Amino acid sequence: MTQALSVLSSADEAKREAAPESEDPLRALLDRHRRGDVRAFREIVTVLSRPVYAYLTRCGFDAAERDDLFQEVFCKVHRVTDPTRPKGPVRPWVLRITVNVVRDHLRRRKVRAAVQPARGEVDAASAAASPEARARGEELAAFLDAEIAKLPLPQREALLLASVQGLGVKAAAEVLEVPTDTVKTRLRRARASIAAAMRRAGHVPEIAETRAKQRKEAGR
Amino acid sequence: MNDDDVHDAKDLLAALRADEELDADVREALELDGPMDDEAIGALDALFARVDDELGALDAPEVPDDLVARTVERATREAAEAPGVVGSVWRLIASGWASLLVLIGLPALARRDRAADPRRGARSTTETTETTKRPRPPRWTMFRNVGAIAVGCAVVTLGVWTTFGHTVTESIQASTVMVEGLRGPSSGYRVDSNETDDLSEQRDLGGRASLTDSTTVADPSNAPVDLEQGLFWERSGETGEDGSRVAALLLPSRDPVSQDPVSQDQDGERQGGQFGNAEFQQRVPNLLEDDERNGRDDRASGLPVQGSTGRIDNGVIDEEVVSRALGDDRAQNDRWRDDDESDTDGDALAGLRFHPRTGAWANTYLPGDPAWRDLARTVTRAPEARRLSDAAAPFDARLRRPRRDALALTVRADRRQVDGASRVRMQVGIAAAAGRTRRPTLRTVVVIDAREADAVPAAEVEAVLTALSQARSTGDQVGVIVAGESGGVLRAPAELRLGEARVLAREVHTDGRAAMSLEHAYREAVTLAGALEADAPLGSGLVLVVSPRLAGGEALVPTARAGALAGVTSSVLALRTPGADATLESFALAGHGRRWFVGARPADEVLRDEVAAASRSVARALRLEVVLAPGTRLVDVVGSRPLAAPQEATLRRAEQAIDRQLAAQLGIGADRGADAEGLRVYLPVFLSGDTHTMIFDLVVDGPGEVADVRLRYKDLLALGNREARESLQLGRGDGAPGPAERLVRGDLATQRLALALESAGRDLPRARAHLQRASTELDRHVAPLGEAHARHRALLDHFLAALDAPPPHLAAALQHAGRRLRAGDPLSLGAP
Repeated sequence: MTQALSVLSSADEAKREAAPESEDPLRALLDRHRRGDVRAFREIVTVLSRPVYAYLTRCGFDAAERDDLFQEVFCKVHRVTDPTRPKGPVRPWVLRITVNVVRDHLRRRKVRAAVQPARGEVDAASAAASPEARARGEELAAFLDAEIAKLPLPQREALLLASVQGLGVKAAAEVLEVPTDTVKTRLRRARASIAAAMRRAGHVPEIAETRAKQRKEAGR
Repeated sequence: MNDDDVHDAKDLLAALRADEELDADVREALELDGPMDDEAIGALDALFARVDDELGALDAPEVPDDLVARTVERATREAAEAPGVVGSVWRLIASGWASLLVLIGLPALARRDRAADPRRGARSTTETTETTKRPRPPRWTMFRNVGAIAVGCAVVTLGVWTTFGHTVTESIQASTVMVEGLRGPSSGYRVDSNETDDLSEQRDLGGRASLTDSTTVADPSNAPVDLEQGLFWERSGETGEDGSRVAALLLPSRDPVSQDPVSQDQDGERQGGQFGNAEFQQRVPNLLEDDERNGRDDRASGLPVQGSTGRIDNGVIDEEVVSRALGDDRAQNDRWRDDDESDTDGDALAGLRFHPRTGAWANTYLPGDPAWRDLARTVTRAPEARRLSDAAAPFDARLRRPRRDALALTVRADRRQVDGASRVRMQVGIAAAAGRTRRPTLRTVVVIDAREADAVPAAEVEAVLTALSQARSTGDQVGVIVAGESGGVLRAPAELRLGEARVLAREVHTDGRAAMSLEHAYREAVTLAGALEADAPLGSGLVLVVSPRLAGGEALVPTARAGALAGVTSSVLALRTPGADATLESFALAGHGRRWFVGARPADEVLRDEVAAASRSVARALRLEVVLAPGTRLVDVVGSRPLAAPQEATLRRAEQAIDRQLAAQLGIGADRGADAEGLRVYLPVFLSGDTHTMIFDLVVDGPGEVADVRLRYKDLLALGNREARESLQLGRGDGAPGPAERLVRGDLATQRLALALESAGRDLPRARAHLQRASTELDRHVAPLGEAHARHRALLDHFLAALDAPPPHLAAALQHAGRRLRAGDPLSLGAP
């Protein structure tokens, strides 16, 4: 139950980020890549492909755009030859590049929100109408993807990095280069929006039901 | 729920309540404005926990299989296209001066403006006083001052450049090479490999496709030729497998002026005609002038192409010319055979004639040789001839493969030991690294066959265009032309952005445009793909015809050949099940491209292969130098021929042009001066995965040093100059040949068989005699050939049997088989 609240606490994040730099296997790969080892670069791309691709997918880009941006992210990684960069762990650094690539792309295209549901045209109404909507499954995941894609970009970034990607608030703040409190606020709003949407769509019980349940549990 | 959790949940609820920017509908759905009791806190906590569970459980989407590979490829390619270290340093210097100019010049201008403006000047007492005290300088003075600063900067830069530029550049290049050496062969920094010399004097062909003059080709072995007069014939502008321009070596063994056969005395001095005489040199310009006079605009074809003394008519190689050229080749080969036949045991020394110890020899490594493609195209049309020639497979000489560099050199001989004067065949083998390549930027024009009866579905069009956009590299351009009732140029070549593919695919089948035939559309495509900038990489033009079956494709063949001559490769993507199709193969061979079957494989896979096929170069500007030890004499170089001074001069110019170009574009230091020594062979390009051997027929006066072999080349993988060096020594004795020696003998036997087949093909009435001699010769080399002997024997037997009832195009099949024996099958048309 404390999972929701952990968003606002930085305990997990601190734990996550406590790993010393020297233990970061990606750093070793990055160093090898900068010494000319193409296989190391390939490995970096392989290891980080899932988080980067997931981020791009949940930003609502279609497959073609996603592939293009994915390549752009790693081209930027490839171009950085300064051995002192990144100062911290590699994964958040690559995610920061991803965030910037997405921002640049949206700015270039003058698209404020690329709001194409990543898993097809599933809307809240159709999801709610489904009898399986109350159980976690493909439909709910599609619904969530669509809702995430509808969030304003700052909230979407915070939610994807801190929650979906599991970076935590502090690391997300570093990636986004904003204060921690700002990330917390954005995250809170994003979660509230998602929670409200889930409630409206019937994916979670109504407040009254929850309260009744709680009363029952308290009485027992 | 413990106290801390309650506290946090309470804080969360409080924060949400206090958040004025939270949407009203969110507030309503979460009932935030209700009482803030334990129930409300608990309900909100439960809700957020559920949300968090769901978000955490979202699966990461599957990354497409090939995306990682494409990303790595694109990243390495783009890194290579970044300005080099040298360029960056000079840019830094230039930008420094520019900044200085701005920092000094603009404030000065501003000050002058303020001083000149009485209203501004009156702002402060001090300034007013100054302006009244000093006369105001006229505005042109300010510009003069700024101009003087600019000129000063330019002069200083020029001074630095002229005084230290070379040193600075060399130092930077040296450190770059050093760093690259540390980085290893897979540094990931690369260059387009197919750029060739910048000596091109491209002739404008009606502002569209172009042919180039003799000095422009990547294959330095080209020189202007008029076969009728025995001069060198130019076949420039041919496009090789890798998209670079290569050409067949069609040089006569006769004196260009007197028509006398070139012969040499014992000392290797040339007799008879003078290759390098003044008369010859005077005639070359005349030929070029003739070309100009003969240039014409073939309006019937719609593709204006200048002819070359009638030999290249409408861009199509005259079969007769090829035949005559090969006739010269035959004369040379026969001469070689005669020499060999006089030496029945292969080791007799009496009566041998020797070549000079120094001088250039013709390159025998000719990937994408157009004459060969013509042969292959002919053979493709005759199933029986094809069956015969396809049975020819090269001998595996088991050359050493490179580990880090692009190329590896192998030098060995057919004997380990000698007792006294002996005849020795020295094999010089070059093997290229496989699987690592570079590719040039491409200007691709896609021709969509949307004719009513034979239209490409919109989904396939979209798949192809999307695949093209995904396979693109920086600088690639894509154009689209539609052939059909509603045809025309849908899109001129430009960068194809993702997303545009869909739009274009929808437009293909829209009405309202004028009709355009497939021939017309294809000609237009060749023209657009060939309309490259003067300094564009050669071989970067590509036309892709997307069609269900390419119905009526034979009509495209002449234009395909013309396009290939102008450096535009043509390939076809057929939307049908794989299988032999003479039309498709004929078109691909004529266009120096490939044919693919999209129905059997995903379009993106096919496109990737197509792009990869255009990017096989791993080394450029190869120079093989063989310095014979004292006491070693040269009898021949099997399958090659000596080149005259003008020919070598052409080769050197081309080599130096490539050298300069690679230095400018890739930062590979220019290192080709006039320092060639010994026997020299110039190879313009070497392709990934290929191997090639040359056999030097030598006479040594005893054991000891035989030759020192040096291979210099531009390594496109490591981006640096590389040199491989090997020497050959023979011991004293009469030991039996070991495995290495047997490999050399097997290679030699295979090359002899290949030459015999080619001779038979050119001289069909005497083909049986040629083949029977080859048969006898072959049986003397059973052991060295090993398994290859049975294969070669079967090949010979099939051809001997075929002579009883010659199938159509037997001559072409013989020649094609000979070439396949010598060089494998570098004419790959693409996998089904």
